[in-house]
Amino acid sequence: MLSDLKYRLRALFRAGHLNAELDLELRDHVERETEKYVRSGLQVEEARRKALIALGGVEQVRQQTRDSRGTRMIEQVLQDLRYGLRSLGKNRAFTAVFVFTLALGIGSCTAIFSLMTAVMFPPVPYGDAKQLVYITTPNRNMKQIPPEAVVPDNADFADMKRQSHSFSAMAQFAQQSFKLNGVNTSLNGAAVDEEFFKTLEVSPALGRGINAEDNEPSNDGVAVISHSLWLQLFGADPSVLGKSIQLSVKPLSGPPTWSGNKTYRVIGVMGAGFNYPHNGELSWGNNHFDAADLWVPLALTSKQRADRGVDADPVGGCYCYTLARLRKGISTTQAEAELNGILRPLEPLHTPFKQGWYAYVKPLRETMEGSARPLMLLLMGAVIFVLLIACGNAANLLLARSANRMHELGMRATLGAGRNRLIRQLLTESLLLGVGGGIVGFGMAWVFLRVLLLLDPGDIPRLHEASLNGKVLAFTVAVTLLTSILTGTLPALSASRVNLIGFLKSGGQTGARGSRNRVRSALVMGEVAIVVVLLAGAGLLVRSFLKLQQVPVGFSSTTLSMKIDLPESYARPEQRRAFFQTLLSQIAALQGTVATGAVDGLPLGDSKGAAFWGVEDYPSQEGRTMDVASDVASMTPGYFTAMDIPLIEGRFFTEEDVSGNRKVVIVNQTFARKYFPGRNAVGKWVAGANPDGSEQSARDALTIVGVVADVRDWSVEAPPQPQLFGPLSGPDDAYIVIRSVLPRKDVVQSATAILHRLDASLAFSKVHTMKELVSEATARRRFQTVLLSLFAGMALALALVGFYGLLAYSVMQRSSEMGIRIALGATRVHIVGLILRQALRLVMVGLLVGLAFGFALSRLLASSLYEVHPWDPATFALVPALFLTATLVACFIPARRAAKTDPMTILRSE
Amino acid sequence: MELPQGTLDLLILKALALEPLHGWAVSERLQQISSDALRVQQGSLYPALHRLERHGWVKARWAISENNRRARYYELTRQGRTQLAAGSAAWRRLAAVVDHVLDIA
Repeated sequence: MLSDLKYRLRALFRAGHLNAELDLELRDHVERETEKYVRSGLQVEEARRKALIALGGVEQVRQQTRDSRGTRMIEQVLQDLRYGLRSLGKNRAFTAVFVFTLALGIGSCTAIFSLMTAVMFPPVPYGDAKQLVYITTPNRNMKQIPPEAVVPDNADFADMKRQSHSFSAMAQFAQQSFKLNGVNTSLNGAAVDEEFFKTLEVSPALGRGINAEDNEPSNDGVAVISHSLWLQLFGADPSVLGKSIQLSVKPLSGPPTWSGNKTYRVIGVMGAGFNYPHNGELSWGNNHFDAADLWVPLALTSKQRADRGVDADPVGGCYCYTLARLRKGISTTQAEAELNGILRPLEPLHTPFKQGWYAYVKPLRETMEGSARPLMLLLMGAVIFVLLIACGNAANLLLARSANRMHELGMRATLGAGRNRLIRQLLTESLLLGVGGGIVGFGMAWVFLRVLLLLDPGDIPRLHEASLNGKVLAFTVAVTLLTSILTGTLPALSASRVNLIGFLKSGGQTGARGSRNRVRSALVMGEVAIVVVLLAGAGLLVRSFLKLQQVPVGFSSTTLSMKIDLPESYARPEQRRAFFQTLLSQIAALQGTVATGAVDGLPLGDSKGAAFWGVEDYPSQEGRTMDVASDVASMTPGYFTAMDIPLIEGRFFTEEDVSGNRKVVIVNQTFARKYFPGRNAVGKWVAGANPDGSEQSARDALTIVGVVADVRDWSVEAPPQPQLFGPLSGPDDAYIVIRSVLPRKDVVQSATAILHRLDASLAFSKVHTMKELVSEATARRRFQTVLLSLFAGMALALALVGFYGLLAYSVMQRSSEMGIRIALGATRVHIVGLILRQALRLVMVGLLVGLAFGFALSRLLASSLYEVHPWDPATFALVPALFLTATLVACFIPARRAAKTDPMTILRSE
Repeated sequence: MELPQGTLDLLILKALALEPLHGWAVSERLQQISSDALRVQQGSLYPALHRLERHGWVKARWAISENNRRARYYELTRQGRTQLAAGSAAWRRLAAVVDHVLDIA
C-alpha cells in the first residue's frame, strides 16, 4: 500500500523522468527484437518493421503504460488547472469581474455568518446548555411588564420545586454587590441557594460549593470565590480554604444602602472562566456585571421563604431568579404546562391582582441571544439573496464566455476530447474562479466586519466578539465550493454539448445557441425577482425608521443628564438631601442654566419601576380598585422644566413637597385619560396597594397635584403607559438633568467643578444628552435598517450589472439584424424602442414575480415594522418605480449603441 | 492460444522467479516456457510490468546486459514471491474446480 503511494507520487512528480526511461526501455526492446529477426536472416529494414508490429505500436504501448501508473486522473486535473489558470490569466477583465462579483456575495455571507456565530451560538460552559431555563411567573393583565421580569415569589418557588417533575434541578439566586474590606471598589456576585452549582453542573476546583446548611441564616458566613479573585486576593494560595474576607453587602431587600462589614470564610474556589451570572446571561438583571466573582448563601429566613407577596412588610421578598435544568426530553411547553397546573391552586393564596398569572419557561440560550435571533436571521436571509444574485451573475458571465469559446471547445471535441472531459475542464475553471472569489471574499468579509462593528447598536450581546475564526473559515470554504458548483454546472453542461457535425460543417464558426440566451434571460429574471423582494423589505424597514424618527419623545433632546452615586459616608437621608439641594441650587445659579433637577430613573434609561395603585372612584371589573400597574419615578421640582415636559393641569412639585414629605403625586396624561376620562384628575387621590387588595383609606392616599404631558418611557416605539411621579428626596444615586443655553462642554465642566467643590471624591458618570439616549434606544432598528438597505443596494447594483451585461451582449449579437433594419428604413427611435421593449419584457416578468414574493414574505417582517403595514402601498409602488428607473439607465448605453449601428459596415461584413 | 484475463501478471512473476530479466527477455522467456503455445502481445507486457512495479511485487533497476548495453532489469521482491505463491495456488484451485465441473458435465 505504502509502496503503491510512493510509486504514484514518484510517477506524479517525476513524470518526465519516468517517460524518458520508458522510451529507452521500449527502444531497447525494439532493438533486441530487430536483432533477433536479423539473426534469423531478415534484412534490417524488414526486421525492424516486424519488431514494431510485434510490439503493437510504440505510441499505444507508451500510452497504456503511462495509464497503468494510476496517475492519469490527477495528471488531467493538473493539466486542467494549468490550462485554466493560463486562460483566465489571458482574460483578466473577465476574471476580475467574476471574482469581484462572487467575492461580494461570499464576503457579505461570511461577515454575517461570523456575527451569527458570535451572537447566536455562544459557548455555554454549564453542562448541557440546552437544558438550562429560567422560570418566571408573569401576568397576562400586565402587558407592559416583560414576562422575563416577573420572578416567582419565594413560596411559589418552593411549591414548584417540590411538586414538579420536569426538572432535574432548580435553584434560586439573586445578584448582589459587595465591597471588599472597606475598599471603595465594588465586586459583583450572587447570593445562591444549595442547588445553584448542581443546576449549572459545575463544582468548585478547590473546596466545596454552598450547601443546605450554609443556607441557614445563622450559618451563612461562607463564600465561594472565582478563580480570578483567588489570584487577586490570595495569589493562588492553595491553602486559601478557611481564610476570611471582610465584605460589606447591599441587602437583598429593603433600602439599597451598604450594610456594615461581615466576615466570610472562603469554602471554595471556582475553576477559571466560571463567572455566572454575568452580562447577557440574565434577561432582566443588572447586565453591567462583567463577571460574578463571589457566591454567598442566599440564606432566606423562614419568613422570607413563606413570602407570596402578601406580607405588608416589604422586607419579605427579594428579587430572586429561578434557574432550572430540564430533564432530558422535556420541552419548555411541557414544563410550562406542568408548572401552570401547580400554580393554579396557589392563586387564592395571593393578592387578587395575581389573577392571570402563568409560568413562563425561557431557555438560557435564548436569553443570551438577547432577542437578536430574528435580526440575525433577517440579515442572513438578505445576504443569501445577495449571494444568489452574485451566483446568477457569475453563471451568466460563464455562459457568455462559453459562447465566445465555441470555437475552442469545438476544436477540442474534434481532437477527441469526450464530453466528460470537456465538462471536467469547464468545472475546473469555474472552481478556480470560485476559489479566487472565496479568497477575495474572505478578505472582503474582514472589511465588512469592521464596518458592521462600527454600526454596533450596543444592545446585541457579544457582537464585538465576532471574528473570522476557524468555524467561519470552514463556512467560507463550504460556501465557495457550493457557489462554484452552483455557478459552474449549468454553463459547463450547456457549453460541453458540442454539435460536432454542425461545428465542422460551419468551418468552425458556429455561434451561440438560442437556448443559451433563454437560460441567461431566465437567470436575469430570477435576479430581478430577488432584488425586488430585498428592495421591498428594505423599503418597509426604511419607512418604519422614518416613522420612528417623527415620534415626539416628549422631552428636550438637548438636556444633559449625568449620574451620581453617593458613597457609604452619606449614610443619613438628611445628609443626602442637603447634598442634592446644594448641588442643584449651585448648578441652577450657573450662567446659562434654564433649569435643573434630579430623578431616580431617566426615560429610555436602564432602571424602571412598576407598582400597584388604587385610584379614587375607579372601580375595576370585579369591584376591586387595585389592578392599576404603573411606572413610577421620583424627581425634584426642577426636573420637568429641565426636561421641557409641559404641565397640562395643576402644578409641579415644590420644595415644600420634598422637604415636608407631602403626600402628593403627579400623573402623566395617559394616566389621567385612562382613570379620569372627561374629568379633572387634579385633587383626586391614588394609593399604594394594600397587599390584601382591601379598600383604600383616603387617609393614606396621595393627592394628585398635577398632570404632565406624556413622554416615551420604556422605548421610543411603545405607546406611553400610565405613569406616576413622586417627589424625590435624598436618594443614594440619581441622575442630574440640566437644560442650559451653553454648549455641552462648558456645562459639564462647570457642573463638575461645583461637584468637586462639594466633595472632591465624587464624579459624574454616564454623561449624555437626551438625544443620545434616544439614539441609543433606536440603535437596533437603525442597525437593521442600514444593513438591510446596504444589502439591498448591493443586490440592486449586482443585478443591474448582470442585466446590463445580458442586454449589451444581445445587442452585439443582433448588430447585423439592426444594420439590416436601419438599411430597410427603420429610424433610430424604432431601434431604441426595440431594445427597450426587449429589456422591459425581461424586467417585467422578474418584477411581477418579485412583487408576488414580496407580498408573501413581507408578513415575516411584520414584527420588525413600526406603524407600517407589511403591504404598505407606498413601498410597493416605489420599489417597482425605482427599479424601472434603474433599468432604463442600464438600458441607455446598449440602446444607444444599437441605434448607432452603421448599416454599411454591417452589410459589407455579411 | 490467447491468455485468459488476469493470468499475464502471474506468468510474468513466474518468469522472473528464476533470475532478474529485462522486458524483452521476459517476453522471450514466456515464449520459451510455453513452447510458443501462448501468444503474449508484446505491447501488453510493459503496462503489466509497470503495474507490478506499482504494486511493489517487482522492482526495476538499470544494469548492463550481456552484450554491454544498458537495460531495465525487473526483479521479484519478497512481496512478489508471496504473491506468486498465492497466485499459483489460486490458479491451481480454480483449474481443478473447472476440471471437475467439466468432468461431471
